[in-house]
Amino acid sequence: MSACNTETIKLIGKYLNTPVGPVCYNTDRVLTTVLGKQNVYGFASIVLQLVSKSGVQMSQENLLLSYQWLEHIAIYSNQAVTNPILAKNFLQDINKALQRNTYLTGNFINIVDVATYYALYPLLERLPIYERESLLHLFRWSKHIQAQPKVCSSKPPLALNNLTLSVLAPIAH
Amino acid sequence: MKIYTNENNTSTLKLLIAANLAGKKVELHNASLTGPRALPLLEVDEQLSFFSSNAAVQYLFPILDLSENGQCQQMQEWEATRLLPAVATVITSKSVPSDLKQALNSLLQTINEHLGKHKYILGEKLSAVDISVWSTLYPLYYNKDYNQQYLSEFVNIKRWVEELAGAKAVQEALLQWNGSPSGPFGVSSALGIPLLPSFISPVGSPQEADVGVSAEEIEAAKDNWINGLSKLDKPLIQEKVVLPLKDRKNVLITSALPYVNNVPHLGNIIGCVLSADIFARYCRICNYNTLFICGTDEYGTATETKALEEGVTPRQICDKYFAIHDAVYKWFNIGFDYFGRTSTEEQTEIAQKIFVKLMDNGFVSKQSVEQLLCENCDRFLADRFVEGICPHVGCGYEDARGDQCDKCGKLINAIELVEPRCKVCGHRPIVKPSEQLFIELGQLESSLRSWISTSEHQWSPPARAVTRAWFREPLHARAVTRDLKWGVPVPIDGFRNKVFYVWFDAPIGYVSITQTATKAYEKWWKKDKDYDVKLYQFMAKDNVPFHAIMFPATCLGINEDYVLVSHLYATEYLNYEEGKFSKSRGVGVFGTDAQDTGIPSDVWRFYLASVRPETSDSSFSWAELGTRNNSELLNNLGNFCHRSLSFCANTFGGTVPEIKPTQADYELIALVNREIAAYVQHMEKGRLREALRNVLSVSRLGNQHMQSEQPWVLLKGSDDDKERGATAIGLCCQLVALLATLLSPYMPDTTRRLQEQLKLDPTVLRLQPNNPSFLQYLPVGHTIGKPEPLFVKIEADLLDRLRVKYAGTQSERANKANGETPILTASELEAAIAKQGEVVRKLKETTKDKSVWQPEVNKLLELKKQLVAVTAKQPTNQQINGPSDVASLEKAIAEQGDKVRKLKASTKDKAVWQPEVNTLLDLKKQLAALQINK
Repeated sequence: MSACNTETIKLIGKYLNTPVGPVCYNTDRVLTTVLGKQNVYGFASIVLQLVSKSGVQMSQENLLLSYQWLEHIAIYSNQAVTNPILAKNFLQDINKALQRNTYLTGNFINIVDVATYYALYPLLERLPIYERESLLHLFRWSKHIQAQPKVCSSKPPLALNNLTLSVLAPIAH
Repeated sequence: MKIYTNENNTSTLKLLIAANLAGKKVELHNASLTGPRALPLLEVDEQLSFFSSNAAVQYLFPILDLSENGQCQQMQEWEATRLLPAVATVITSKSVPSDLKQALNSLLQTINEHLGKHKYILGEKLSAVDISVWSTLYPLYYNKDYNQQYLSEFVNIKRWVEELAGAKAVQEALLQWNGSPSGPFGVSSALGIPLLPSFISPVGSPQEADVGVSAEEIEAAKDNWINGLSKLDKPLIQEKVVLPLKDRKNVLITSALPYVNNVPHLGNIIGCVLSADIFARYCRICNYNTLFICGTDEYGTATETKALEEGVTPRQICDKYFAIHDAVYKWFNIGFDYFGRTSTEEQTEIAQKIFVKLMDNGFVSKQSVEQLLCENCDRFLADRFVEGICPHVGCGYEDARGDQCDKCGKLINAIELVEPRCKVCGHRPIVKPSEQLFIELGQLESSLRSWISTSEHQWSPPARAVTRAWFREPLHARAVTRDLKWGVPVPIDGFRNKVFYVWFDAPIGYVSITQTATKAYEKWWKKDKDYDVKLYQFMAKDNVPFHAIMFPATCLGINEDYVLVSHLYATEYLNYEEGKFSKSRGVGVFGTDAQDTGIPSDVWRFYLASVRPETSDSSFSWAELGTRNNSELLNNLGNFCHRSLSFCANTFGGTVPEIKPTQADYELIALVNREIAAYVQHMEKGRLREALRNVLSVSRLGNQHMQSEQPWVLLKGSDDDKERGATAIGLCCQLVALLATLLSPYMPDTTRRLQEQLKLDPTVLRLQPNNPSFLQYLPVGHTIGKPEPLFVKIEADLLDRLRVKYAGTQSERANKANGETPILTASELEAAIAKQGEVVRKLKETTKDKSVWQPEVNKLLELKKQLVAVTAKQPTNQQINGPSDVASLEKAIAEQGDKVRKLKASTKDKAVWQPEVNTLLDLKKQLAALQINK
C-alpha cells in the first residue's frame, strides 16, 4: 500500500474530469504516464499537468505554492505509510500548516487539497480516535474536502464523528 | 525578503544563488529545526512563505517555464525526490551501500546526458533547475574524495559546474552562504533525509520501537508457550547421504569455491564459507532438509604458474593447498556436508557433457585468436608463460611478462613482445593463429534477463547491483577454451589439446562435488515435480558475474531444467584495519594466523558475523574484536547464561523451578517472540549480521528481566514472592535454552557447552520457522548440569601485541622475525623499486581510497631515497654537464619518463609535474640534436 500511487492519480483525474493516460511505475518506482504524447514523471508533475490539461488557470504564485505541497507529499507520504513514527510527525506538520489557513494554499480550495486528501487517505483512515484528537485542524480540513460530492462519491468519507470521543470519555456535567 | 536557515545547508545555497542572479535583496537569519519544520524557509511577507527550496528558487528566479509543458517543475521534483535524498544520504553516512552508489551513479548519468545535449540542463538557457541541481551537487563536486569516487567520469557535469562556479552571482552567493564542502551539513527537514522511492520497503514494516505488545501478541505467546513444543515438526533423521525429500523444504547451499593456490584470509572466510555455514546451521535447526557443499577450485593458469615456481606438478600444489584449506575450515567449525575439489573425474565428465550439449544447441562459436606457440614445448603459451623485451618506446625492459611489463607497468599484448621467449624452455615462440571456442552469451541474453527479473528480488543488494551493472551493456561472446594443460580437456575434435577456461568449469564444480558426495547429483540439480529444491549461493561480490550470468546462461543454454540459483547472497568486501586484505601481498590475518592467536574459533565466528559486510564494505579491527567479545559476549550473553544457570543450581539444586507466568511474564515472552520472528526473517533473507543482533537483544531482555524482578530479594520474601522468584529463575533458564538454539548457527562450540550445562539433547533445540516463538524447551522438573562461564575476557595488551604482530605484509613479518634489515645494493634497490611501483600501480587501479595506497607509496618513496643515497656514493661522470652520449641520454629519458608517469598518476596538480615534464622535453631535444649531428 502506498499513498502516492496509480489509484491516487486516477482519482485526481476523475475529479478533474481529465484522462490520466497509462499511469504506471517505472523501474525506479517513480509514477509515470503519458499526457499529450509527452512522458511525465513524478507525482507532483503529473498532477500539475492534469490541472493544466483540465483548463484550470493558476497564477504563478499559486502554481508555486501548489508545487511546494505536491513536492512535499511526493517526498514523504509513501515513506510515512511504512513508518508510523514518521507518519505521526508528517501529519502533525500538515496539521500545523492548516492551523492558520483554511486550505493548504490559502483561503481557497485548490486541486492540491484534493490531491493531498487522496494521498493522505490511507494514513488518516488507520489512525485511532485518540490520535485524531491531536490533529484537529487536519481533520477539520478533511471534512471540508470530503464534503464535496465529487470527492465523497469516489472514496467513502472518513468517519469523523466528534461524538465518538465523548462516548469514551464523557464530559463531566 | 528573509531566509531562515541552519548552517551549511546546500538547499540554502539554491536560494542565495537565485536571489543573486535575479538581483533581489534577501536577509539571512539563523534558525534551527525546532522552530520551522523545514529549512531554508523563504519569507516573502507575512502572507507568503515557501518551505520548499525548489519552489522558493522558482519564485526568486522566475524565468518562465521554457518548454511550456512543466519540464522545469518535473526536473525540480526529480531533484527533490531523488537526487537530493541520494546525495544527502551519501554525504552524511559513513559507509555507503552499493545499491545507493549505483542509484546515485545513474542519477548523475541522467544529468550528464542532459548536459551532453545542451549547455544547461533544460536547454541553452539557465533555469531554476540548474540552480537547484548545482547547489545539491556542490558538496559532491568540491569534496575531493567524493568527486573522484562519483563524478570523475562525468565530463559534461564538470564543464557545467565549473562554468556556473565562474559566474559572479554564484561566487557572491557562496560568500553569503559561508559553508564548506567538507560538512557536516545542515538537514533540510525535521522529518529527516527522505528515502529514494526505490528504497522504501514495499510491505508495511512498522518500526515499532516503543509500541507496546498487543493483546493478540500476548494470546499467541501464551498459546505457543503452552502448546508450542508439541507442535514442532518431527526432527529430521540425518541420513548419511542427504537427498531431497518429498514434502520437505529442500535447501541446497553452496559457498564460492576458494581458489586453491593460497591460504584464505578472514575476508574470504566471512565472504563465503562462514556465511554459508551459518545459514546451513540455521536451516538445520529449522528442520529443513539441507545439503551444504563446497570445495577447492583447482584448475587454471595460476595453479600452473605456482607449480612452476615451486618446481612441482599442479596436482602436488593442489594436494598441498587442499589440505591447508581443509584444516583451516575444520578449525573454524565449518560444517560442510562435503568438502570436495574440482580436479576430479566427475568434474571432467559433467563439464564435458554440459559443453557438448551447449554446442549441440548452437550456442558455441569458433574464432581465431593470434597466440604464441612454443615449438619446443609444443604448446600455445598463456600470457604469463612468455617473457621478452617490453615493446613500449623508452622502456625496453628485458624481462617483461606477456600480460604486463614490470618496469613501465603498461599492459602488453603478448604477441607484441620483442624477442619473446618461452618461460619454461627459453625457446623463441612463433605467432600462430589458434582457434578457440566462444560461448555466445548474447544469444542467451533475453532468456537470462527474464529469469533474473523473476528471481533477483530475493538476492542481496550487492548481488543485484553487480548484476545490473553487467546488464547495462549487451553481453558478448566469451572465450571458453584456452591453451593450457591443467584443466578439463575440451571433448571436441580439433580442440582436444585445449582445456576449458576456469570461469566455465568452476561453477560446474558445485554439480560435480554434489555428485562425488551423493552419487546422485541430478536429484539436487535437476527440477523434479515431486520435490522442490531451493538453491542458496554465498560469495563475495567479485564472484557474482559467474553465478548470476555465466553459469545460469550455460544452464539455460543446455535447456535441461537445471535448478537455478534462487537466493544469491553476495557480500561486499571486508577491509583490514582501514586497509585491504590481500592474498597476493599477504596483508591481513589469514586462516592459519587466527588459529595462532589463541582466541577461540567461536569468538572469531561471532566477530566476523557481526561485521559481515552485508550492504557496504566493513572493516576488521583488533580493538573492535576485543570490545565485542568483552561487552557483548562476556557482559551481555555470557553473564546472563551463567547467572541464570548458577541461580538455578545454587538455589534449587539444579532443578528448573515451576513457572507460573503472570500477564507481565507473557508480555516479556511476546517481546522475545518479536525478536525471534525478526531473527527468522533476517536469516531467511540472508541478513546474518542483523539476525545476530536479535540474538543479543534476547539476552538483553533476559538481563533486564533478571534485574527488574530481583529474584534474590523475592526468594527471601512471602510465599507469593517466593513463587514469583522461582518463576523468574525458571523463565531465565528457558531463555538460556532459547539462546542456545538461536546462537547455534553462529557459535557451535559454545552451543555444545551450553547444551551440556543444560543437559539438553541438541535435537530438542529447534525452531518453527513458520511460527517462530519462544517454547518451553526445558520440561517441568528438568535437572541441569554444572554451570560454567562461557567466555573469557580479551585483554587490551593482547590485542596490541596481535596488531603489531600482524601489521604489514607476510614477507615483512618474516623479515622481522629474522631480525635483520638487509642492506641493499643499487641494483637490488632498483629491483625493489620496480616491484613496489608495480604494487602501487595495481593498488591504484583497484581502489581510489587514498588511505589504502598511501602507505605503499610512502614505501616506494623511501626506497627511492635509499637509491639516491646509494648512487650518490658512486662516482658518476654525467653529473655536471648532463648526459652526453646517446645511450645514456636514452637511459635518462626512460628514467625521466618513468618519473613523470608516476607523478601524473599520483597527482593531478600540474604545478607538481610540469617541471619534470620540461626536463624530459629538454632531454629529448638533446637526444634529437645528437642524432642529427651524427
